[in-house]
Amino acid sequence: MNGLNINSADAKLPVPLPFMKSKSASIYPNTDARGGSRISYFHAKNQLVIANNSSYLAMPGPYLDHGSLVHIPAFTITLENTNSENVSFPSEAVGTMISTGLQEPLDVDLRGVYFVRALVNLINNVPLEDGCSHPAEAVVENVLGTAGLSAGQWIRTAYDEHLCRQPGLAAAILRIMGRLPFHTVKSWGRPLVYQALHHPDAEIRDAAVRAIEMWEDRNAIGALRARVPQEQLPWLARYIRGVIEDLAG
Amino acid sequence: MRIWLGSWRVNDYLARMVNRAKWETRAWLAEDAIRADALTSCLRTSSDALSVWTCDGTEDGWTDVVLALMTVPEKDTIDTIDVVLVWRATLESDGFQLVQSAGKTNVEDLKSRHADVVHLDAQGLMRLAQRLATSIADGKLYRRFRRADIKTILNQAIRSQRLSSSQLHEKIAEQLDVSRW
Repeated sequence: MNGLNINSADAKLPVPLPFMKSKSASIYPNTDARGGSRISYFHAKNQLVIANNSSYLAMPGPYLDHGSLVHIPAFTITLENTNSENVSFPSEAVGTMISTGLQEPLDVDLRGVYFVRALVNLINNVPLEDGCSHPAEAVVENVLGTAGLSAGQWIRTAYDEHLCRQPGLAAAILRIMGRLPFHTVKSWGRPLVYQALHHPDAEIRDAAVRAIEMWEDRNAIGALRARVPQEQLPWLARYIRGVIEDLAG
Repeated sequence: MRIWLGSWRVNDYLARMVNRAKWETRAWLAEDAIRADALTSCLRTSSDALSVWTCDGTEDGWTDVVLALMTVPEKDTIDTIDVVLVWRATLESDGFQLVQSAGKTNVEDLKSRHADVVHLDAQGLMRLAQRLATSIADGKLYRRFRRADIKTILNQAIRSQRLSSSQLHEKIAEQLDVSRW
C-alpha cells in the first residue's frame, strides 16, 4: 500500500497524507507495564497526531466516551514511502515533536493525551457551576490516584495549553483542582496556583484565589498578601483580603 | 403581562447568582462589553425562563438569598458565590414578565420567595444582562459571599431551626461538620 498500514482491529484508519512519498519508516508502539501504548505523539486541533522524525499521520477523534478514558489498543503503524523533505506540520499543532531513530518505540504515555482530551471535553460540555460538583472532579481524582505525578503533569499541560486561547477553560481547571483534596495536588498544584494569582486575566486570578480558599492553604497567606497591592480590581482585592482573614482566623 | 404580586411588594429586588469574574471584560472586547460567557454561564435559562429570588435588600434579605441558593438539591459543594440584585420595578418597566413559582430550597419559609422571569427571548436576555451589569458596577447591589460566610449562614439556619442538617446534601454537611449539632 502506498501510505501506511495499521495493524489493529480497534484502531481507526487514518487517511494517508500526501507527502508520504518515498522513504520507509516504521513506528512500533509497545505496551508498557501500565497498559498504555507508547508512541511519539503530539496533539493538534481535534486530532491525535502520531509522528516519527520524518512523518506524521493524523487520527481524527473523538477519543472520549462519555467522560471515560477510552481503551487504547496496542497497534503497529507502518509509514511507507515517506519523504522527509516534504514533511510539514499543521500550524495549530502544539507540543514537541520527539525525534528518534526509526523503528524505536518512543517513551511517551498516550494516556496523558486521552486524559487531557477527556478533561477538556468534559469542561466544555458541562458548565462549571458554583456550588455544584463537576463530573471532571471524579475523573481527575481517579487519574491522580492511579497515575500520580504523571497526572499532575497532564493537568498542567491541559492548563498551559488553554491559558492564552481559552482562559475560561484554564480557570475551570484551576477551580476543579481547588475542589480536590489538597494533599493530592499540593506538590504541583500549589506553584501553579501561586503563579496564576498574577495572571493578566481576572477569571484566572479569581480561580486561583478560590482554589487557595478551598484548600484552606495557610501557607498561601504570604502570596495573597503580596498580590493585594497589585490587584487592580476592587472586588477581587476585597476577596483576597477576605480569604487572608479567613485563613489567618 | 404582569402576573402576581400582593405581599411580594415588600421585596423590591430580584436576586440572581452570577460569577463575577465572567463580567470582567477582556482585552479584545470593548470596555463595557458583556462577555458571551457571562450570558451562557450566569443567565442560563430553562423553558425561556430565568430563575430569580426576591429580596428586600436588607442584611437579612441578602442572607436569605444565599440560604435559598445553597439549599437547593443540586448544591453539593460550598463555593464562594456572587449575588447581584436588580430593582424589580425596573425590570417590570422594561416589560419583563415575572411569575412567582415555588423555589426548590429546603428552607420552607423561603420557597415562596422564588420567581421566574418568563417568556425571554435573546434580546430580552441581553437587556436583562445589561441591567445586571449596571447592578454589578453599582457596589451596593453586588456582593460576594465567601465560603466562611456561607458556612456561617447555613449554621445559623440550622441553629434557628429553619433548616435541618439532614436536609443538607451530605457533602455540604460534611464541610459544615454538622455532627456538632
